[in-house]
Amino acid sequence: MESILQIQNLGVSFRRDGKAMPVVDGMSLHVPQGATVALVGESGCGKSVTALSVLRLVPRPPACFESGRVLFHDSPDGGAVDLLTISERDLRRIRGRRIAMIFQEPMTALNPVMTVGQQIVEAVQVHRSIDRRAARDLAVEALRSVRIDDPQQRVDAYPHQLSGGMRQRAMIAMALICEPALLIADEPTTALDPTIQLQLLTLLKEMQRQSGLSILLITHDLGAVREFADYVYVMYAGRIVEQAPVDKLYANPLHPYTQGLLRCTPRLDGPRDRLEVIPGTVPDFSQLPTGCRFHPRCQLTRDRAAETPEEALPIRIDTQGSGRPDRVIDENDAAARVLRRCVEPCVGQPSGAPALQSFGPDHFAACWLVE
Amino acid sequence: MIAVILRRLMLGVVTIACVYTLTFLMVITIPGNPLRQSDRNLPPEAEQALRVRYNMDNNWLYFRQFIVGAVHGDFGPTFTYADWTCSQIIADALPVSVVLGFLAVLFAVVVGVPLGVISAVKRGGALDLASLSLVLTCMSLPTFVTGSGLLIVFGVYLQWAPVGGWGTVAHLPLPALTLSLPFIAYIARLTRAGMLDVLGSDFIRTALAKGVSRQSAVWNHALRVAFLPVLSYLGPAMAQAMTGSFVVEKVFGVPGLGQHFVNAALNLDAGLILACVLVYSTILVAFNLVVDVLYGWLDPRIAGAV
Repeated sequence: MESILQIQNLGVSFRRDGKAMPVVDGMSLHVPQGATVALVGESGCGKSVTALSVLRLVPRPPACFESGRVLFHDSPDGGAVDLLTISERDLRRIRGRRIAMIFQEPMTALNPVMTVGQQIVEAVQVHRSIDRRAARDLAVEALRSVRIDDPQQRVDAYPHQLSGGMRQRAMIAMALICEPALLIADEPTTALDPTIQLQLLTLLKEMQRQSGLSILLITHDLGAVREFADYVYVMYAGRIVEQAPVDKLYANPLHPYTQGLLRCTPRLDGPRDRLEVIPGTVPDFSQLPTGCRFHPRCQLTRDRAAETPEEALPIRIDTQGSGRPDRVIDENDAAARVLRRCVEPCVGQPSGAPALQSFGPDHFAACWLVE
Repeated sequence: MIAVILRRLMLGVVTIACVYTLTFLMVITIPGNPLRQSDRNLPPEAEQALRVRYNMDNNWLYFRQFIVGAVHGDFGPTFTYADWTCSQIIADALPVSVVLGFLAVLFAVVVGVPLGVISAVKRGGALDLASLSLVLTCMSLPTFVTGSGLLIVFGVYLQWAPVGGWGTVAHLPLPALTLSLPFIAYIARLTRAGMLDVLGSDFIRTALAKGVSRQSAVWNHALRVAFLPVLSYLGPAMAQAMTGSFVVEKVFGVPGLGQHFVNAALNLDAGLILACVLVYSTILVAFNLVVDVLYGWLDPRIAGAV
C-alpha cells in the first residue's frame, strides 16, 4: 500500500549541559494511506518526541535533528517532501491543513482565554480566507460532527466550561476541520476515563472511514492499540524494538519487551492473577545501557545467563542492571557470545543496540536472543 | 456580576472608612500645633477663636463634620491657605495629577509590554540583555535624577519641550515619561515573566500545529494570557502614578496634587491631609475595582469569582 508518511532513520537528540542524549535513535516508520499505525512504549521512551518531530514542533534547542528524513507523500504525482528540511513557510502550509495533531491533555492544549469556536475558526482562517460568519458556521458543523450536543451554544464556551471528553472532541473537530490527510494523535485518550476513551477512539475510527484519513496513534494503551490500529511499532529507549501488524504482534510477540508489555496489560478473559510488571524503569538517556538498551530489565537475558555454564576465560555480565558484573560465563560457549552482545557494545552497530531483523512477513524485532 | 460589583463597592466604602479613621487618629495624635507654624505670634484670644472655629478641641465633632462634608463634596477649610478651601485646591490640582498619571501608565504599557514580550521571545539574546539593562536602569534611578536628565537633554539642549510648567500639550511628555520609567521597568519584567511561563505551554504548541505563525502564536495566543498579571498590577499602578508624582511635580513645576499633600503634612494642615487621603484612597479602591472587573472579562476562568 502507498505510504503517506515515511520516517527514515530519524535521530533526535537533546542537548543538556553540553551532552547530547539520543532520545530518538535510528527510528524508521511508515504510515500507509488510510491506515492507523500505533507507536507504543512507556512514558519517556521518545514516542512523543517522534510525533512532534514530524511537524518540527519539538523545541530546538534543546532538541536537535541528528539524522534522517520525514517524507510526506501528499502531492497527486506521488512526489514527497522532507518535512525536516522544507522552509518554515511551506511547513506552516502543511501544519493543520495536511497533517493535523491532537494532544494528550486537552485542558492545557487549548487556549484557556479563547472560546472553543474562536480556536476552531482560527484553524480554518490560517489556511484560507473565509468570512467570519461562514467560519463560525463551519465551526458549529465541526462540533456537530464530533457529536457535541448543542453545538450552537458550545461554540462560544471556554475550554474550562467543557468536560474533558468534550474538550478532546473539540480538539478533534479543530484538527479535522481542514480535512487533513494525516492525523497524529499524541496520547489522545490518556487523560480521560476509560468509557470516554472508547467513545473517542470509536469517533476517530468513524471519521477515518468517512474521509480516508491516515492516523499515527501515539499511546501506551495496548488495549486501544489492539482495537484500533492496523500496524504497531513498539518503542523502547528511543529505538523501535518490534514492529508488526496488530494481530501478529498480539498473537506472537517476539521481543522480550513487547512480551513484558502485553503481560502487564489486564485482560477480561485472562486469569485473575496479579499483573506482572517489567522490573526497573526506562533508562535515563544520559546514561543508556551498553549493548541492548533493554538488557538490564530483560527477563530473557537473565534466563539465558542462568543457563549458561560458568567457566574459565570468563565474560563478566551484569544481569541485574546494577552496573556491576554479577555473573561470569564461558567465552567459548556460543550462547554466551550472543549473551555478551546483549550487554556490551557490538562492533558494527554505532549505538551498540541490536538492529531490526525480519522474523516473517512484516514482522521485525530487534533482539539477538529471539530465534 | 452586578452583585459581585455591588459587594466590592461596599467593601471599598468600608476600606475608605478605615483609611479615614486611621488617618484621623494620626492627625490628632501628631505632636505640634498648626496655629504656631508661622512666625506670627497669635494673641491667645485669636488662637482660642480659631480653635473653636475649626473644632480643634472637639475631635469627635470634627471627625463627624469632616466626613459628612466630604460625602457632599465639601472638604472644609485649610489651615494654611486662607483664601482657598480644600475642595478648591483638589479641584484645581487633581485633574493635573490624573492626566499626568494616566499618561504615564499608558506610556508604561505601550512601551513595557512589547519590551517584555521581545525579551521573553529572545531570551538570553542581545535584545533580552539590552532590555534587561534598560529595565534595571529605569528601576534603580530615582525620578529626580531621570527627570533632571531628561530636562537637560530635551528641555535645555535640544529644546524640544519646555523646561517646566503646565498648560499646553508640549508640557506633557517629559514629566509623563519621567513618571512612567519605573512603571515601564516593572511592567516589562512582569510581561517577560508571564510570557516565559506561557510560551512553553501546550496551547502554544497546539496553535503552531494548526499552522499559526510564530508571531501570531506569541502576540495573539501567549500575550492574552501573559497580560493578566500586568493587568492586575495596573490598578495599583494607576493609583500610584496619579498620587505619587510629588518629585516629578517638583522637578517639572507641575501644579499637581502631590505637592499639596506633602505640604499639608508638613504644615499639620489636618483638613487638607484628610482631604488628600480620602481622594487618594478612593482612587486606589476605584482602580482596583475596575481592574478586577476587567480581569473577569479578560480571563473567563475567573469570571464570577471576583
